[in-house]
Amino acid sequence: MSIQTELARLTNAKAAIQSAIEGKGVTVPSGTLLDGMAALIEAIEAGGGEMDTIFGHSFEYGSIIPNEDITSDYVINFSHSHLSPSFSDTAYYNFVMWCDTSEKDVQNLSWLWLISGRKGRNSSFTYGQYINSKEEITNASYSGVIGSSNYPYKFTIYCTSSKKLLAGRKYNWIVVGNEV
Amino acid sequence: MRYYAQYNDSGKLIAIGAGPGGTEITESEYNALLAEIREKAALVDKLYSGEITIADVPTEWQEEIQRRVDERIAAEGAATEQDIPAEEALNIILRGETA
Repeated sequence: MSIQTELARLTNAKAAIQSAIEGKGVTVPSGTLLDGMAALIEAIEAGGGEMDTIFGHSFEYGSIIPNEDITSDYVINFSHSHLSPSFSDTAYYNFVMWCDTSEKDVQNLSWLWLISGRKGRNSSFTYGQYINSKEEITNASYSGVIGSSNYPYKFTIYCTSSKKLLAGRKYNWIVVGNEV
Repeated sequence: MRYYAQYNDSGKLIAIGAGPGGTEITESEYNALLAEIREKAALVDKLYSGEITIADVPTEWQEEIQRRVDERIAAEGAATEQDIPAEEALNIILRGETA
């Protein structure tokens, strides 16, 4: 092959590599040479936005740290990008939230944990526990609700002056799809 | 990990966290907010317990910290009433026992 042909082949290959990198969300600065592409490839975030799965179902997780005590309904909105297309109100899902106690003791009048799941066809259950004013672990059957039928991608935690999400405390959560 | 800050319609910070939701922020911004949130929460606890006085709180934070302590006193008083078991409440009413 001629040098000209080889140069054209390499130029086209570089353009294809640049396009692939930018398709993964990493910008290729103007003037980047071929030997600079490896570093940009390493900058591509692992997973590439693909759906995460656990036990064969899509899932998502996060954490909350309130700025001030939360004493009214608090909504956690899920991201669609990590949940399967069949994640819908007819499937429901398993949602768990708990107070991260790795740093400090739990405090009175605050949520310890809650769980929500599929009870039956088109129905769900929610249950949790909190610490009352006497430092007693107390059951709470009225703890939260899965998102509405036309928008399932959220969970509402029922907070009150007795069941707070405390300022500065970390609350972890995970939602696992129950797709059918 | 994606970090975020969540604000209400008035622009007041509600919470920070990791995962989806809110306005995305950097890890450094998250750590700075976290430090301030926890420092204020500690001051609220100390002022509430009487360990410190309002004079010990930085001037720019005094109004907020005092408000939060006042809200906590008001809320926990009501919460204490709500948490009395039914049997205990009955004993108070019928037998004159105290809470």
